[in-house]
Amino acid sequence: MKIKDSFSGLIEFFKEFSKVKSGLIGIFIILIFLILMILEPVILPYKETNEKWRDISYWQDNPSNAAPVWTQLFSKEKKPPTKFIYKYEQSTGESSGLTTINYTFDYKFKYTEAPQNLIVHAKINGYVGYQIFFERPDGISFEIYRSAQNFADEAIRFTADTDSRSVTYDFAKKYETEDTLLYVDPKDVNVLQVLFSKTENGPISHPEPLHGDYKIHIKVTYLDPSATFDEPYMVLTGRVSGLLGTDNAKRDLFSGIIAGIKWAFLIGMLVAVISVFVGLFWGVTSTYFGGAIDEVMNRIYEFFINLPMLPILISISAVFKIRMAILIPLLCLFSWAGSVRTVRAISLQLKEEVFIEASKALGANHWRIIFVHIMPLILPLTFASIAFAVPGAILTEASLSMLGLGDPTIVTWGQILRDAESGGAFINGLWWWIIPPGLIMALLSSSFVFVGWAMDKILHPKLRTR
Amino acid sequence: MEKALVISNLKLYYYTSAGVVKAVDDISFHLEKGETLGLVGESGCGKTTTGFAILGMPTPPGKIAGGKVIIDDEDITTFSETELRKKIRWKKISMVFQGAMNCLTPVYTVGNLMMETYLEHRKEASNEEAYERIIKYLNLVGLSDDIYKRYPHELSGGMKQRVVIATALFLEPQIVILDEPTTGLDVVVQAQILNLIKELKQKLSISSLFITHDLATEAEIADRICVMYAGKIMEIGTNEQIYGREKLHPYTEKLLGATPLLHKKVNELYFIPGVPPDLINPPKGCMFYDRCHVRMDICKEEGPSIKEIEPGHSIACWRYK
Amino acid sequence: MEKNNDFLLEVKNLKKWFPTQHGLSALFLKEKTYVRAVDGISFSVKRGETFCIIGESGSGKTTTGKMIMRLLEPTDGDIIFNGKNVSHIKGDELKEYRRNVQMIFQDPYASMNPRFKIKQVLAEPLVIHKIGDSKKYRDENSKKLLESVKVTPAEEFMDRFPHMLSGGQRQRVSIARGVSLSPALIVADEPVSMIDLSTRAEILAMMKSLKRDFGLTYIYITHDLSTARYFADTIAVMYLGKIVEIGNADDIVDNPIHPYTRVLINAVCEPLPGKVKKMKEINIKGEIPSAAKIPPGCRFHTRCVFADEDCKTFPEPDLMDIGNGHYHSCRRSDDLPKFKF
Repeated sequence: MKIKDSFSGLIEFFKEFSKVKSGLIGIFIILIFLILMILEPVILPYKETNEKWRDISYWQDNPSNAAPVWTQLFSKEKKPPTKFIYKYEQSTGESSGLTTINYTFDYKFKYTEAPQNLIVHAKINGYVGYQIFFERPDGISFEIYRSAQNFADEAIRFTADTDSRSVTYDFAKKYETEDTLLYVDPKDVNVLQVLFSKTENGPISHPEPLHGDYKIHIKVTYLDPSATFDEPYMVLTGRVSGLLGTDNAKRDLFSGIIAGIKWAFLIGMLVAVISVFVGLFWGVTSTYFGGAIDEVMNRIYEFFINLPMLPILISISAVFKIRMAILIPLLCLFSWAGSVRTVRAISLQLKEEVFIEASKALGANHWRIIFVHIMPLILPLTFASIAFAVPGAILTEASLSMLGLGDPTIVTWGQILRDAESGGAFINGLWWWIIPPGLIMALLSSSFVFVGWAMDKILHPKLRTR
Repeated sequence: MEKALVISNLKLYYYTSAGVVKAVDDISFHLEKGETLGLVGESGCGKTTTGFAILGMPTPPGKIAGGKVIIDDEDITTFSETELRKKIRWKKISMVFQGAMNCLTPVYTVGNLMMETYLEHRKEASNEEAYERIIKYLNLVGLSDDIYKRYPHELSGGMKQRVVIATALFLEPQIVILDEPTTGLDVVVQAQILNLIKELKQKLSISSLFITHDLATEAEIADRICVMYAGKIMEIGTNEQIYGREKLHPYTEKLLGATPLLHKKVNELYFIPGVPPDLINPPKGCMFYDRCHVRMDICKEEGPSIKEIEPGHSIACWRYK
Repeated sequence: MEKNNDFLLEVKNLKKWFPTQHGLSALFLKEKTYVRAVDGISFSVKRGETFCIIGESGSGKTTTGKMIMRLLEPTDGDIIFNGKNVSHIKGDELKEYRRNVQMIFQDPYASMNPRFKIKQVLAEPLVIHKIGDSKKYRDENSKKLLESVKVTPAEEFMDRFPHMLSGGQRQRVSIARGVSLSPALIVADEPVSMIDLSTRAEILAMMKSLKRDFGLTYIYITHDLSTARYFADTIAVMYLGKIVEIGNADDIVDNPIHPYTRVLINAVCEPLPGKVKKMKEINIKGEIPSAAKIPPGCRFHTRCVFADEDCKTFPEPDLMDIGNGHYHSCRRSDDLPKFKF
């Protein structure tokens, strides 16, 4: 019976609610966010985003500062996306009585710009020598790297950008005039651009993409018969990456934003619910008892509502390491006072109601009156306050993060923005690093505000005309 | 005697989402010049609704669904809102609304409030003229001149009610509708206000409709009584006929029995069991059938029409056919 | 008054003064002013009787009721219930006291939590006093109570909310709640003034029969003399915080002494013919003074048409006995004209 009644009450509430358009839009957006949050494990392109956001090696195969892939739809240039190549041809040979294995990777290059980097990964154990050859469609082929070492079950990572710099310079030198070379510092050579460039006009001075099929050969020589060379694969880091691009630390921003949803909800809802409930309890208790208790509680409330939050939080963070478990209580401490005034106004009326007196006359104690008779009556009215408090909490966390006071163990939108700021995204025009987190924060916050307005209209019918 | 107001077959229905509420259903009565007609009944019987209908201002979603309200040979139900405002309200009929004394705007003085009302209805009048008139009527209701400058919160309930009555009278209408003018006042003040109304009635020979739920108050003031129940008139009779308690409608009889007499110790008071009928789906027969103590078979089938049983005394009951 | 076991409740020199200043400013005022809502009243209520306190608004009758209920703390004086002084008890003692004394309020709708169903309203006393912990027991009890106050069918009403009931039904529920702990005393503050006339008598009759069934004692607070005479055994008339006359109901109505009582009686309207032409005789002047400024001398002298110099200078005398338990506080009672109505 009880469930049925509260159910019909809910239906009634939603009927009313559905009449307020802005509220519906708000609910719709919040629902989308909730769904994204629940589906996070499925839709995260980098599954370990949460644990490894600050682990540089986890993101090393991504391009840095790459624009989102979909920007290609609006651009004449065709920039290469990141490509992982796991497929190779394998051939065994022999040289000087030692076994050699040749791994050949194919890459079809058809873009207006060279990839950002060429990376080869493998796992090696034992004494092994390996050479990497770069074969271009114009028939030129040369060794870009060689190494021989006793590896102790190591993962090796070759990057053309750093490891083949001098070889590439030597290759390009041949096609450049002496005059040009005077002004070229080998350290500044764009390795990948040279490797994927036509030779006619000089690959350094006038790089022009050379389209066609490239082949990368890895020749492994087993200097120790028991040595192993496993799982080789190649990555050609593109100039565009992922749904929302990458930052300067090569992190996928889409993953960051998706992983940030749950924290936004957690901070927003938890802080809002806790602080509104504390405010409700505070307001009701102080008005109910009145007198000296009210005076004292009121002074405390006034103290907290006038506290400047940021300066204090900054000083606190100088002492403590900020973690979620500290941040949420801190935010509650600074925001519970917000709802007290409204609660007080209603509670002052309610406590004079005859049914409160009647309950007292029946012998009810103060706490029964506060918790059973007064608070449940004000509770629905605070739902709107909760909705309004959520954006406040989200934005406060963001501003703290901007100041470098966020929890460094998690990914929040505020921290992405802070990294953008310190990483020079504003100066370098890396808009995909700034706009999505900012926009999404605004979107979630405003949808809570919409819901708050709608609830306000339903729950405070007197305000309906405003 | 001349008739100041004739109501014939008046119907006022509320068109709600749940259905049509027949709040006032086909009632007819008249008000003679200089007389006070009492309109009594339980809450929800349609007495206040009747008052509003006569002023041509039914509360939404109410609408006058038929019948006539005739003042000076004109049927005011056909008047437009502007005509009603210009010609009828406050000029010919005014009303003392229930609880009006608690609705005086607290930021204006009594003088301001009355002046505004006066000039609203007499645009051509000068301030001096209005002032004189206001003072005259304040004095008439037993208040001194200095009340003019006072704020409502400085006045007692009785004084506020006097101000409201003065405001209802100072445009000198022919008819005044008084809706529960003594409810919410203390017994002594109530008696004083009743005395005031009696006095004014003699001085100004005004016709009035006195609406109340209390038959005891009505006994003090009304020349004739009209008893309403569930939107219909059950009985109309003179003060003597009703309070003489000889021939009465069973409802009036019960209602009178439920009104205690101070100077007669009774052991049991009457009461009327049950609740008034649902006005959205009214019963087929007599409205009072369910609660009646002398009901007959015919009462369930057909509602009685109102019939004069002796001069000036009409009853809607099959017992008197 | 000597201690007497016949008395369920004795009130001795009870006062309630509300300070007119609050907060810090009150500390610095030399002379504090008070609203003397109840200014020293004494009376005794016999077991099983209906004791009526009658007065206009501002007379202090409701404040008296609330002090007896201990909803307000008395400023001075004693409330003795069953031989025990309860004027300042606290905690469990107060809770136990409230089990024995119950209140019925003027507005039954306002006296119920609008979010509570009728069965919750009726179960509340049991929950508070931890009687019968099973829900089934409480529901059974609510059902029985509803049947005893004739709100039937009980099962149907139990799941309704207060706003779904008529005024009369609500007051019955509120009375049922009042008797649910089988109290000895019920303070009924204007229990029928908001009820439709046609059902008013029914509520009063029901209260009378509950009194018989449960052996109750009532304190009936009202402004309405007609129901008081019908309902009460003893009537105490209050004016500006004092009892001006007290006696058995018939004596008060038929033979009132105090000029104020006389005014009250004369002011009552009765459903009798032949009164339209006659003015009511109301022997009173002016308006009721504020309880913050109680006139010196006899507190009624500003409004009394019989007041002389003594009345203006000396406070009203203590209640004087004229026999048959009839007391009044008018020093000029011998000079007053014979009462007629």
